Amino acid sequence: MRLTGLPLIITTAVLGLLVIAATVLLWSRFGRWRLLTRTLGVVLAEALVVATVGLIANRSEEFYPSWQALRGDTGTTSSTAPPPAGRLDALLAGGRSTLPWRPASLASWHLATTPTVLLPRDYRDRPSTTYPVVLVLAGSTAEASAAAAAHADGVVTVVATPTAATTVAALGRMGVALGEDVRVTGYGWGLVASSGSASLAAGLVDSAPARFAGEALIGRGARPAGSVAFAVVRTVPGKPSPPGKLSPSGKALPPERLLPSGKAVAPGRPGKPGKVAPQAPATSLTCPAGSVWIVAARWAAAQTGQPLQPAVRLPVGAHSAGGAPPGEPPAGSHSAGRLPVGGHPTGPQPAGGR
Amino acid sequence: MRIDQPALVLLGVAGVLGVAVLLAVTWDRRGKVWRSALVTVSVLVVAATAGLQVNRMTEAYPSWAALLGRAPRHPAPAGAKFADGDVPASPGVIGGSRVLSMTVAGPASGLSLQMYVYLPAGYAGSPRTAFPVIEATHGFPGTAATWMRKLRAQHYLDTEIAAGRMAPTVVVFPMQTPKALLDTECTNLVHGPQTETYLTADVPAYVRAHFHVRADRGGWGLIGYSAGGFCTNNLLLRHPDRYAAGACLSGYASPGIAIGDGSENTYNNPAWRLQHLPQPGVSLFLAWAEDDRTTRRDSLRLAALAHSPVQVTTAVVAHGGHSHAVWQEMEAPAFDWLSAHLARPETP
Repeated sequence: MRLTGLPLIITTAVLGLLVIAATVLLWSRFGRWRLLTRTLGVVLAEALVVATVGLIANRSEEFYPSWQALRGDTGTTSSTAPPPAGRLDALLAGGRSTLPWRPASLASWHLATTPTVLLPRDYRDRPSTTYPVVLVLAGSTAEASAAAAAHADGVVTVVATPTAATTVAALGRMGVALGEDVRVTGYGWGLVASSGSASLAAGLVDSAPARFAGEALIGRGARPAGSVAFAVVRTVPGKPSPPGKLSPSGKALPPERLLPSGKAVAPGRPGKPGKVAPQAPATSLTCPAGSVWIVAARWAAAQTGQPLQPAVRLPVGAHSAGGAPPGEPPAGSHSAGRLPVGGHPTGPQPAGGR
Repeated sequence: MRIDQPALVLLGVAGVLGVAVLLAVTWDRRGKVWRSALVTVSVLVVAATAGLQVNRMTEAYPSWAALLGRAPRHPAPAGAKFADGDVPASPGVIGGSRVLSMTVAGPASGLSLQMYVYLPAGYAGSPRTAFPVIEATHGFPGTAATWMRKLRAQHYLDTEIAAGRMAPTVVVFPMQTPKALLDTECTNLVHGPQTETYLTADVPAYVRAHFHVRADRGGWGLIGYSAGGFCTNNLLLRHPDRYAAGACLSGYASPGIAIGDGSENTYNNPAWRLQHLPQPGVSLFLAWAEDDRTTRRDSLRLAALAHSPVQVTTAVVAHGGHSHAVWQEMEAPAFDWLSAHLARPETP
């Protein structure tokens, strides 16, 4: 008999009525035994009435759709799957942490030089950790060297030198190529761009808004349209300060480019339509000329997530959800290497309401 | 004795038995007044015992004081001094983390409600680090104590952070209703409590003022179960400038209450928002149990309506209905996912 079915509710209710009737009608029978039969009758009637009410409530709210659910059995085991090793992982045996990167799609990006991949210090010691990325779009080989020297720890830095022939569409495929070669996340990256690459950077962010958590622009230029965190790094000439010392002025710059109307939602009070809001003001970072790349790289790295061990996952379910994040493998698609993870319910724990 | 102790329910059952025996034994010796009084008492004892058990399940009234309408008051923490009183028990805590209880008075909303704050291991030792924040909303009926006692939030957070699957994160558990049986769905009710303002303006301002946490939207996320899942969906879509990601556990696409201005069908309706307004750049984790029909249907609807720049990740528990067992199963995956979609603890 199903827990939420009418047969069970009717049976319980009828049984309750019968017990009440029998208790009342037979109240003074059974001689000495009547103390026992009366007590039993009262308690049983009360229990059946409470059970009927509980079953009706459970049927209408569906807290426990089955007996299995009532036992606290979810029939589900969450699991963690270690990330696949990056193809470059094997090359790191010698302790190298800076590599020229020549993926198959390199030619399609039309870069001035071979991009450089810089790894975090602990990359080799943590083979199941996935790292976020800071992508640097440098304007020249000199800037590329400065950017490589500014590599912040705790992220994988990719330094690329785009040319006029580099397109957003082609460079947008870099994430997939990088994911095959290095253990990186597919989302929440930081982006550092020199002013010459500003439109390319804005285009990259706009084409894949989930890919980037923040962009630091060195100098002036276009900013991305979405809600990605945005900082402008400027030099303060003739004002020496220790290199690498971040000095956010706290002063918000006016947004460089307002959203086209109807692009963002900033809801007002309930009942009022969401107004189109300007973007969050850009963060303004000022520093001496020698440390712009360090300041930009640090700020971009701070917008990314922490390097993490493989997450506990549940199956994604049989349906097509809109927009799976780029580079994020669908959960539950791993059949091998499942590790059972603790955290099972201690017992049936019903919940009320919604 | 605490209001949600199992011993209290056992005491109630013993009372039910006792009254039944008394009824059987004294019926023939006493008059009508005694008899009807005893019948009344037996009904009351049964109702009270059932009520205690239901309250144990929901934690709608986590304490006797709450039942009597006297919410526990804690002074706002000043500096490193916190009121540690009334910290809910959470079995299986690994250690190093702390849960504090405080009363958050909101100048913008005029609400003054209790809140728990989870401080991860290492929080006190890193005073210069700005930690990411997750704001957790509870179901209805329910309280912040449901997160602590029934969903064992401290245990799951400790486990995920210790395993390196989650970054050290400050997690706040505010109340979203001034009355246990008033369902606000985290909205600003017309002629009622302004809980949306409290949760999205007062609580964040209080947390930023009293704890070293990130202030940017990239460092703030939402999580909620059941009605709290609706809160997550609605607040994330309404305030993408304050939160970057949200995890909805068995939540809804509509509030299911009347807000007073009809906005339950429009601006406070996540499904309507996704259909009729430009979608914001946020990430949403939607989890449901396959046999929980309403939240399954609502979650699938939201997942189908969402498109870039909204990013949706789904997670499914095979069965278990709309229960704590299901939400406990979802906690570790949801916290891991949230942490991966929030900015890291920032050290200058």
